[in-house]
Amino acid sequence: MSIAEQLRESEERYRFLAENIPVQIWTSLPDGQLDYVTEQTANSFGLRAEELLRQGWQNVLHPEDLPLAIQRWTHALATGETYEVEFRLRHTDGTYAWHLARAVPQRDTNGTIVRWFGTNTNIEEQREAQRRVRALLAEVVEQARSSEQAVLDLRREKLELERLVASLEARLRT
Amino acid sequence: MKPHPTDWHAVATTKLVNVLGENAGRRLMSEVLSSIGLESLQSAAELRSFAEALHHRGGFATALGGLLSLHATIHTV
Repeated sequence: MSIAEQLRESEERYRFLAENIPVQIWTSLPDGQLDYVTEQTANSFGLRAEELLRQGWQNVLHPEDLPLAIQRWTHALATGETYEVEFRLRHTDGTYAWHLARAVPQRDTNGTIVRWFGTNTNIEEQREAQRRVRALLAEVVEQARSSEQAVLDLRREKLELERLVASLEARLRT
Repeated sequence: MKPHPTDWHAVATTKLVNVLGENAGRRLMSEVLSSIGLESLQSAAELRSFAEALHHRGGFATALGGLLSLHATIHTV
């Protein structure tokens, strides 16, 4: 197999992988400009790859999550540190789903960043499970307080009854 | 808003919705009621039956069943 054929096969293998794993894959230039997204990634927003490349993430990112995403991305670009942030992305059906975005820099032999490799992983189920655990704990706390109050009320009523019985007994004796 | 402790149906609905979310909570409420042949919860005994049915479902439902069973007990003694 020639070098050209090997290269083509390697590219095809990569493309198949990138387009079929259940993760959004993207790359950007050292200045942060998005320069590649898989078709699968763009399709999940009802866009084509070139449209997403032109628009960037801002149109599909939840407005409330935008400031933190920009802050982390700017910091990563300035320092070369790994980019990591959780945000909501709006899918074709209009619903938002939480994603974990991560990107690492690729450097040349001089250590200069030549490209960023990023992924967005859908973590909606994990976030929902975390929310349910928090809500369940809140219910447990509430139930514990309510149960404690019920026990205290019962004890108070028992003491009142005991005092009443003692008083009646004393009256009977006299 | 927190329901009255002896509004058994509202207590169960609120707990399920708080923990599982609006859609999943109401769906489970409806499924479990149907499985025990009831349309709503009108007494502590019915809440206990509901809690028992939840208990067998596993996961969050089991925990919620425990809480509702305890609720029914402390508000009927």
